[in-house]
Amino acid sequence: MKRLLLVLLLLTGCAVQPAQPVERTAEPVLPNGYRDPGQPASLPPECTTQDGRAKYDPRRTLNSAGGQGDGTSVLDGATLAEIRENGLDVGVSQTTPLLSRRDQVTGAMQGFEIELINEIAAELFGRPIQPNDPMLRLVTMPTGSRLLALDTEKNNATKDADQTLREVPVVDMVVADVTMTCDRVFNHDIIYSTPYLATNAGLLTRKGTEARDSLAKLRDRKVCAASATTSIVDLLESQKTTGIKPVSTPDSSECLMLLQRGLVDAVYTDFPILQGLQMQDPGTQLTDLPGQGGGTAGVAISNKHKDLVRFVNGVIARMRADGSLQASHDKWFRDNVRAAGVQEGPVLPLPPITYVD
Amino acid sequence: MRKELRAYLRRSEGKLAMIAALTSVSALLLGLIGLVVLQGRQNLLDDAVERRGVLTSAALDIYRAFADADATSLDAVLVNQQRSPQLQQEFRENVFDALDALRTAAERDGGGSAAERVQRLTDLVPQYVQLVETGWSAAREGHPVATSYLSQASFLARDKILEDAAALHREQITELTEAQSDASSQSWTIWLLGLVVLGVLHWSNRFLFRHTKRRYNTGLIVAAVLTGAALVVTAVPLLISSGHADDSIRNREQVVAPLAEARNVGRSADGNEARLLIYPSVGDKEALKNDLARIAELITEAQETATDREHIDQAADATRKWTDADAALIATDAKLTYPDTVALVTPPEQGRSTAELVDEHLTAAISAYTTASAASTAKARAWISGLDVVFALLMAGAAIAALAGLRPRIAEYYR
Repeated sequence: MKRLLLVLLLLTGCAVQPAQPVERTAEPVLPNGYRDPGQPASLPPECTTQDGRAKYDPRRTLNSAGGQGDGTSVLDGATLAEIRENGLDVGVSQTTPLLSRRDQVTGAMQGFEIELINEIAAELFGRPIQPNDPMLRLVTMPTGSRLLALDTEKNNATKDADQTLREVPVVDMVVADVTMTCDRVFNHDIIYSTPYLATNAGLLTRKGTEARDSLAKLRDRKVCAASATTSIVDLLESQKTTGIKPVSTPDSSECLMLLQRGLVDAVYTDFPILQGLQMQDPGTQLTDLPGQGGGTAGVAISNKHKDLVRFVNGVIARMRADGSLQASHDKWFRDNVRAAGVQEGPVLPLPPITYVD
Repeated sequence: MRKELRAYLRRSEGKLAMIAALTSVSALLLGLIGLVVLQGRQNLLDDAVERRGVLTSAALDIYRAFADADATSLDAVLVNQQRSPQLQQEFRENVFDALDALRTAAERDGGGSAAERVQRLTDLVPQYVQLVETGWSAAREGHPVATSYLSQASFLARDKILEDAAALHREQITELTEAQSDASSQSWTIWLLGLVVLGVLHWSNRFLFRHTKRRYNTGLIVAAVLTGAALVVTAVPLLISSGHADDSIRNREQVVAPLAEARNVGRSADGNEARLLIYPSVGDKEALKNDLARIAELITEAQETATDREHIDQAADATRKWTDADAALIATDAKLTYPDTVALVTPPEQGRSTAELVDEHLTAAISAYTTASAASTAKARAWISGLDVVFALLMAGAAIAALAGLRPRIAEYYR
């Protein structure tokens, strides 16, 4: 009997297998709007033909000295009068140190673009601009819809078609490292000011022994850029030759977060933006990519507000002429960059000013 | 042997013996079925009180704690460095509370997808906390990447954690309501079988009358009375229990549910306010506007049923003030300066914000009505306590009475 029991016990022991632990892995949480492969801006057919590109050339801007053709002076336009009465609203970014960033507690904003905006506002109101000046409102733009904030016919039609876009605030101008492109002129009915910044692209990677200083050395690795920018277009175009995997997020700051979390291997965008990202993470290395990507950035204004375009062009022309634009550039991209121990970038000359009138 | 049995059953004493067996067995069977059914009802209500009720509250706590954590994580970077640690501590306490509630939920098997949801929620907590804490570190250094971390944490909280917590709550509410309704409704099985037993007793009495010319058999009459009593004794407490269960369900569905949803939406609105500053995106203003309107709507819904309205009315008043205060924030042509906006969306240094007041009054009302709902459930349970035993004893008595009544008639054939 005892033997029988022993055999039964052994059999039972063999039959009952220990419960196998279920293998589970923590799924990485990705930002809202993350796209793999990256999401480029739509390129209208008009920007693929020579005639179209000439018509929607982003460098076609208005002479600051020119009249409006209706007998009024540049400084007395309807838009300017309204701004002087109600204040100036400017759409900005708050996540690009050196160009434009906000202190979340005080709300104070600083950067190269903020100094340019302050110059424009000071000249408009005829007095220096104070911090949190009620006549100058810097509006952090809803991600991915900064140019929709301009009061133009196409933007208004887009907002009418999509109820959710109605809350996008209306601003007088957008100064947020907006690269001057044909598709933006066509899609948003905007006029750019003369350029205030010229850049090329760069690459931000984590420091390490492996060389990752070009897209070609990032084969089969994820490279991040902001959605609907010229940078993601560059990445998608180079995908075949370099073998990289382009991914995009709504904001380049999110690319830095993904780089820090090890979810992407590089960030590709305009060099000044990458300098700002590197300032936030000394564990990264920055590579200049001369001749690649980038472009020129200008102030984006509705094509209905030609007097404002002329006014802004006047301020930029004056700043370029008296060296204050270069001084501001040096302050942020040389002095501040050196102080932060970040790699200095190339100083690209601004293209000559040209007007259509 | 078989022939003898057939012959015996054809004789009157055999028929009477068969009737005695039929009546007593049917009474005993009814007693047994009643015992099982009523024990099932008691178990359902015990489950409602001890498991479903706790799970429902835990699900509500999970939602609230994570929604609080979401709003607090964002507020912590908008206030100065002297106030920030206090809000950070609040966030950590919120996560601690959420984990406590998750543990409570995990200890009780909610059935269906509850376990899966609880596991998924628990899995996300480390990543969520890591994103928030990294965001705070970056914010202390003045790095804008902080907004990316906090925005992603907020997206995780809203898009996944709160969605799952809300679904868990909805599922448990449905299960709880079903359990209460099922436990307190009349048992048609018992009624049907009871009528069958009464029919058997009646037919037995008529059979005796035809064969013995005795109009009534006392034993069968007593058995019928006991069966009737068992049915009435079951029906009345179930009816009263059902009334209490209805009270509980009404309180929970028509008062607690809309108030709990209003509180959840309130937490979401609180977070939306801070997001407008930290990481604005299309839809935030519309979401905030809709949230405030929805809170008012849900409070009105609860007011229609609630009898004790003190806290609910106060919550409605605070919601009106909150909506008025946020009008400037929601307007697309808002001309508020940054410091004005920060002052609007973060808790004041002294006293409480309107958002906090809404939450406070709603919590007080939810707590009061949840207690009332649980008390009604406990009353419903108390009314059917021991009913199974009483029913079984009565039916056993009926079986004995039937046997006792028929035994002398059968004995007459053996004298």
